[in-house]
Amino acid sequence: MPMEQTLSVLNDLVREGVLLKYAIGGGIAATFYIEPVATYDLDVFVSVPVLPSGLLLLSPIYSALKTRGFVAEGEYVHIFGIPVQFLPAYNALVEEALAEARYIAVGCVSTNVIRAEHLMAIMLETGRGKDLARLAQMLEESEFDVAVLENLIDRHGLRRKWDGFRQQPG
Amino acid sequence: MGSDSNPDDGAETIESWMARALAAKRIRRRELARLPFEEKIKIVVQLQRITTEIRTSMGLPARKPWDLPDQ
Repeated sequence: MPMEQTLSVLNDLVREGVLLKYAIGGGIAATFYIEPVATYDLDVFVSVPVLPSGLLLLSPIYSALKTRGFVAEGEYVHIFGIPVQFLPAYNALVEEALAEARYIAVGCVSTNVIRAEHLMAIMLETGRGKDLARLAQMLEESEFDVAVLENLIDRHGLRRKWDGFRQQPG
Repeated sequence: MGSDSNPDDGAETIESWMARALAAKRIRRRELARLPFEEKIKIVVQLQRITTEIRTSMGLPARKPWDLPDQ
């Protein structure tokens, strides 16, 4: 499968220590659990080294990709035809989602995908229209553990958002 | 007219038709949700192509579909 090439590059970055860990998020992760969704991006949550100053160091990712011939264009790096956006784990919820991502095989390549419950909590947290639409789809179509989701909602301070979402018609 | 057929045969209310149509969509979405990931990615690329074609035909800015071989 052609996407394997892109995932292999990400796996190489982990092997080389450029990335501590990565996991697929966003629309492609949702596509793992529900019907395919229209998306143009491969969102990749990453764990990267943090400098003593507290700043994240993303430049080694771009440098390592550049040496392979994959150059960043704006926020994206096109890796074998797929625009990849690297998103550092920006809060405790995403850090946990990344740490607990599930390991899957895509063709001959292994990769990590954010678990359904974490993905749903992140959708709720970000709260954009398309995130909430996908959350509604996830509730209807995906297999997930309600208790795990409820636990995430409580631990990450999302209860009010969740209650508001559940009260929406439809 | 000499026919026993009732012109209402086969007719249904808007509500029952909608309920049936929506149920069929739900079933279809669940079938799609169960496809192998690889098959889903092929559909994602098809969706990108369709979206790009529509937006381009309307003179709207459009992103380039994924350039994957064998798709």
